[in-house]
Formats: sequence, C-alpha cells, structure tokens
Amino acid sequence: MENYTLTPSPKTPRLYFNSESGDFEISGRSIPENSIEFYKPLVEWLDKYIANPAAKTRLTVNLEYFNTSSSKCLVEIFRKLEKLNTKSDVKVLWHYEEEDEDMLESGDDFKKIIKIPIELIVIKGDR
Amino acid sequence: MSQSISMDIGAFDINDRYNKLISENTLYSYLGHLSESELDNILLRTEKTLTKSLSSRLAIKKLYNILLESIQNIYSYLKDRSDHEQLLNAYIFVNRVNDKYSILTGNYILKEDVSGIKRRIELINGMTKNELKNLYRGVLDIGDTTDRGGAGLGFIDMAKRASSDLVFDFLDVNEKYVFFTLETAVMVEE
Repeated sequence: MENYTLTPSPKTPRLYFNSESGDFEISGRSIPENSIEFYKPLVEWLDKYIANPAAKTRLTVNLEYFNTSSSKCLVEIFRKLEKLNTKSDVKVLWHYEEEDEDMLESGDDFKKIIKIPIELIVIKGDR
Repeated sequence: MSQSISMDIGAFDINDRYNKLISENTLYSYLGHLSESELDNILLRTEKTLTKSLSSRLAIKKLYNILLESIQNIYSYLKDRSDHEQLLNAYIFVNRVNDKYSILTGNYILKEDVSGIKRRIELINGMTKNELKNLYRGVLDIGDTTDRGGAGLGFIDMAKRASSDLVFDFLDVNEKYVFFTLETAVMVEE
C-alpha cells in the first residue's frame, strides 16, 4: 500500500501517512473553505489502511490553526482510527503551544468524544 | 416603496454604511464580493494587520480564528447564491479601541434565515463559557443536522473565544432580504 503524503499550502496542512511504519502526521494550518473535499482522499486512504495496519499507529497532530469545518473532519479521521483499536496499538499525539488554552481545550474536546488514547503534548518556547 | 427593474433594496445603502463605520479605530476594512481569491487576500491582509498591531502570538491567534470563522461563514452562505450582484457584497472590519479588538462583519441574508440565526446567537449568548464548551463538544460529537453551511459550530467557536456577547443586528433591506451585522469582541492584555 502506498503512503499518503501532501505538501502544505497556506490553507492546508502537511499530511504524512506512512502505511508501513504507522507514523502519521497532520501539521501546519487546516483552514480550507471546503474541508470535507480536502480530507476525503485521506479518509478513503484510511479505510484501506484499517484493513491492513501497522502494529503501531501514531498520529501526530500539530496545528497552528484549524477552522470548525476541519474539526469535524478530524473527528471523522479519529473515528476511523477507533476502528484500529484491536488491530494496531493506536495513539494520537495532540500538540499545543504553551499557554495556548484554546488549542489545549480543543485537544481535550477530542479526548472526551473519541475512544482512542489522545495525549496532549505541550510545545515550549518560541516556534 | 418604489418599484424598479433592478433589485430594489429600499433605502439601505451598504456603501454609505461602510463609509460611516470607518474611523480612526479601524485597523482593517473591506467592502466587496467574497470570491475565493478575495477571501485568500483578505485572510493574508488581516493576518498582517493583526501581526503589526499585536505582539502576543496567542492574542493574534485568537483574533485570527474569529476572523476565519466569521469570514468563512459568510463565504459559505453566499457561495451558492445566484442573487443579484449587489446582494453579494459584504464588509469586514477589524477595529481597535484601547485593549478591545473587534471583528465586525455585514452581509445580506434571506429574510427566512433570520429567525434561525437569531435563535442560535441568542442561545449562545445566554450560555456560560462552560455551557458553550459542552455545546461545542456535543455538536462535534453528534453533529448538527439543522445546520446547512457549518455556521453552527462557527458561531459557538466565535463565542467561546470572545470576551463578551456576540452583538448582532438585522437591518431592513426589502421584502426578501435583510442585512445581517455581527460583532465579536476580544479584550487583549499585552
């Protein structure tokens, strides 16, 4: 199975999804007007990954900005990962900048509604 | 009321209103259509404006997030409309009075959408921060079927970040349209 990768743009994040290692990353800005359209290929890719996943799946989320339509897509992605629960050791690593209460709270929101481990990781100092 | 072949928008004059709103407190303002390229341009310029005016990265993020939601709300509302050209005009302001920053937007909406928007904002304004947090989680979790364009989460998100109630108004335009204004304020401590 091929990896799913996408270079970032001013309004869309870097996507790096390695099917072999199970290392996944969403980073940068996720503020497209049509988030559903943007994330659709990734969600379809995840369906295939779920059928034959790596032993360990780690999704790093490190977003500077995301809009509310992206947050709905993140829920969809996390729910795909919920399906891995027995097949792969899955974890989401949610990053937030020190003192960024809003981003911390967002991570906490997902933690409350998603049934896979979400670790909240603080990024200290200047970027 | 006078009848004419072009769209009759009564006494409402967006240009006049826009010009009157410009003051020494205005850091950024825009009046015009919200095409995708205009939207990108506005986002670039407002981010520059905020970066110039504020030193706190977190304050910039908070305000930019509100701007994003309000502008994209309007964009998705107007996107599939084939209304008369002049009804696709909207304005956006970033204002500052001392430590208070506010994002002010104005756009035409259908009269039939007024009650839904009004109900939604009044509900949100009546909530504590904690209730807003729970509502946001609930909508994120189970979705919001009554919502067409995604504005459901948008308003909640803006209210969560705001320092005070969302201030809204509906101004008479004609029998089919009203002009919707929305102001979101944030107190910034630097």
